Amino acid sequence: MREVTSESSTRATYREQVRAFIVPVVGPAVQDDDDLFGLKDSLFAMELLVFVESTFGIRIEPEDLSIQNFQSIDAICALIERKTG
Amino acid sequence: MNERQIDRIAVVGAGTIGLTVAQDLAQHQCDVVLVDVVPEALDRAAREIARNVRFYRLYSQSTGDHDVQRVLARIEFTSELSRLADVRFVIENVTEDFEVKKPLYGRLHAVCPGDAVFAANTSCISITQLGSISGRPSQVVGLHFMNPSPLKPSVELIRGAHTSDRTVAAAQAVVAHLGKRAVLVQDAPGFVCNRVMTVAINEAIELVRQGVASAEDIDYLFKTSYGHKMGPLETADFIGLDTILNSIEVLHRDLGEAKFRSSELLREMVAAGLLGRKSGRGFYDYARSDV
Repeated sequence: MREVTSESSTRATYREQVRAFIVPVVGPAVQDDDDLFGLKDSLFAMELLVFVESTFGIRIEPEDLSIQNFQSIDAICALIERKTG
Repeated sequence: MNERQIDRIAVVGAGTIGLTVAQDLAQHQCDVVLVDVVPEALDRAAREIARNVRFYRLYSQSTGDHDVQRVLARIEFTSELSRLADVRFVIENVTEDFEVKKPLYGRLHAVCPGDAVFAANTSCISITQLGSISGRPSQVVGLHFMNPSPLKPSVELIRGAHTSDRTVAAAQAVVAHLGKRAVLVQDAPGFVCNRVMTVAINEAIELVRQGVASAEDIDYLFKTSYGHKMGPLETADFIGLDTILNSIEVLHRDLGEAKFRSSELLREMVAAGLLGRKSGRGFYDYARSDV
């Protein structure tokens, strides 16, 4: 039970950090499943890649370098969880 | 066009567009000699290519090698034009200024084999004029690569007055090797893309200056109504306002029509160093951006 709580809390932290990066750029109304590239031009994906790698200390390999993995806050959090899990 | 021409290609000028062309060639198994007289430009090119091989993978799952180390290993970074003594296809990308290009073509003619083709990657300089100073006018052709080259499926191929069919075929073979389509156009100021786009951007800037609409609203209309990926002002910021100003001034000089007169706001922004993405601010603010 403790393990599950700890995992959930880590996930919540990822999400908070991702939102803290994205909200100042696209605005506070952004939902976790909103298409970010409907709000910003797709060049924003490059900024997201740099942010994810530097903040979470992970390297995104070529097979994961797809814009779908950066399309929404949910997608970014799922990617981080896969890479840190 | 034989295999030897495609296997080893020179890219002269490691600026914004030159480095993406070098990257594109190296991702398609060509050995590239990337030449720039400024060593810092070569260092920057190596860094940008390493970064962009990964970034562009985000937008395209297309053919081409995405292994950063292998791509960099195919590129020789050098400041020595003498390294082109055995290269038979040269893509020239130096500054869009005929006076800058002029001495280079003389040196290329002296260094490169007699059968080498020179492809000018230009969006506005006359190919016939470049041919006239090259010492080999039938072997000069225009290849206007779009930026960033690895993500763009087409290239303007420009035939000068003296360009031979064989030279056009050689350029078509290189473009096809990159998985792109070459669209053959005739030599005229601005060719097709730059002539239309520069005027549209300049006019959008005039609308901002006159207070008709904001940059955001103009871009929004073009993106939502016409399906453009970027609006005209975002495009201007992406290309660089200094480049846009240079292009419109070349068109004005060569064609002499009032519709090519540069917007006062464009001139003011360039004078103030507001050049778009590369300076951190243009019509939009990129100060927070890492790219």
